[in-house]
Amino acid sequence: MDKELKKIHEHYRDNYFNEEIADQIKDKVHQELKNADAISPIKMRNYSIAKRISYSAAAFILLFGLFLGSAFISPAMAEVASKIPFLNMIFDQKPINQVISEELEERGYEVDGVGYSVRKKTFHATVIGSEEYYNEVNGEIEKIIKEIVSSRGYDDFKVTLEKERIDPIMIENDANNLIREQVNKIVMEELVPKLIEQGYKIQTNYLIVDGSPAANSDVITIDLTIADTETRKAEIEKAMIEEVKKQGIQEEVKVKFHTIDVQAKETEMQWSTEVLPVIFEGMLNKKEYKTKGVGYSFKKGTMNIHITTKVEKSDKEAAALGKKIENAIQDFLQSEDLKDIVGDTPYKIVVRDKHDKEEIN
Amino acid sequence: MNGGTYLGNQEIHINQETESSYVDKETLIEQLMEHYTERVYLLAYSFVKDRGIAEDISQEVFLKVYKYIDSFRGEAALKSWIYRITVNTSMDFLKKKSLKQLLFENSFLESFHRTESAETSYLESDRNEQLLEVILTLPMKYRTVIVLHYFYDLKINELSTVLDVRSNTVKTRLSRGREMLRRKIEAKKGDIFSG
Repeated sequence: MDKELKKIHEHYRDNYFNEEIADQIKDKVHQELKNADAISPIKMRNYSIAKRISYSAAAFILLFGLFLGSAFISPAMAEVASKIPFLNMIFDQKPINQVISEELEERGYEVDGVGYSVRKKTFHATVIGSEEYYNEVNGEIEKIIKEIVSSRGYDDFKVTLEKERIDPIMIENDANNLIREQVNKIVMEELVPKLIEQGYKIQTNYLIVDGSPAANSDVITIDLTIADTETRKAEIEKAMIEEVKKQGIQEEVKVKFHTIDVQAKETEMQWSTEVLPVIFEGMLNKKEYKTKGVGYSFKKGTMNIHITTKVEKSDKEAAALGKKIENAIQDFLQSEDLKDIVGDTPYKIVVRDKHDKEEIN
Repeated sequence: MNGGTYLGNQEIHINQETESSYVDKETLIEQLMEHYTERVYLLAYSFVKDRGIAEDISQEVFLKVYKYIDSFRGEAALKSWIYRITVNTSMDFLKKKSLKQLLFENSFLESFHRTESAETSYLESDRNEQLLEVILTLPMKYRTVIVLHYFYDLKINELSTVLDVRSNTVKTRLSRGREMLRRKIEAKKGDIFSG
């Protein structure tokens, strides 16, 4: 029967799915995401660490540009600049999206959600208001953003503008969702703070109630992140269930524990919010580094930094480019600025060819 | 493809304890859509059997993935997590709408294109279509395990994660579903070849 089922599966794929459907789905998702900051019920501003990272990383470029600009004016500054690794210069600067937002606001434009997409190397902004208003101002806004970004030394970016969408697809709050929300509220706002005060090692930084309620049942699952040294799961679960019941929730509630190595998690968080965005942004936005993609993996305490370039391994320049990227990152990671963060965390820099297969450094 | 370990093979896996990856969220969702749109859509379709609704559900699934990816802790493979969201979103939809209406009033199994012209291919295609119909008309709990197990190659423990039921329950459903399917297919074969 297995063979038969394989054939049926093929038939299912061939006849019930096509590129048109794929494009429809992707287009809708893109549209929703672009406008999410403005009006979607999915409030990404509150959730998106990654967005914050890419925003602040984009910002580093801003001051980098400013600094280089000033280097042309003052020989003393030029000397200083030449000694500072370029990634250090884009470390810890004011977000460029903030600069753009402030500038646009100052000039009286109605704009929401200025952002930066690493993948597309694109700055994007959402214009609030009528179609008429959008048509009137979009050219001016685009020009201003381009001017600000160019003046910072970017040599590889685009700017796109969208009009605010007024028909967001709402994820309906049915009765089940409302109860789940109520449970989440009780847990997050009342119970967890109490338990932490009593010494239980619950990790609120990572506590997010499962976004996907259990299928095929009305059981409400509370996902709880605890330190791997916390052994009193039964006590925590009992307290949770009792409290939820006490507050009049009839549905069955169960607690699902997730344990983390707190120290390792903190290290990873610090790298992924303070160190990696600088590296990624620096590499992605300077043509000379020919960088196509970036990523990292944190495995067994070692931070692996991945850079995917646009070159073939067989290209003459590949080895030199690989070394150049590695050296730039090394200089940054070993600098005084990073001493406290990097500490003695082992790391590895992996630079790969355009197929993301062969290492070139 | 971008660096990191999000994509590149079937077994996408993120685990915060042992391994995690970072690309910006937009890149990630792009990669996930590239990889999973077909599977998410066809899984949703197996529930609702309506192209427009399955598209809406797929969209909602990817938006939920985007929203919650920061909290994805990697206890399960990413694919199990995504299928779980797909199953739950589809179930939520069916709970909201009238299941009967969806199952019986809609014209069943819309086909997009029949490209085969040779008679044998047509017959083969027609037969597969009828057998697919058998699968998609199995009771929901059996249909889901059959689709996920045979079409998507999920193992028992993965099915247990996706459906949030015990492994034994999965085994029972799989065995009953298989039996039900076998009987229906045998009956259908008779119909197909005699008619």
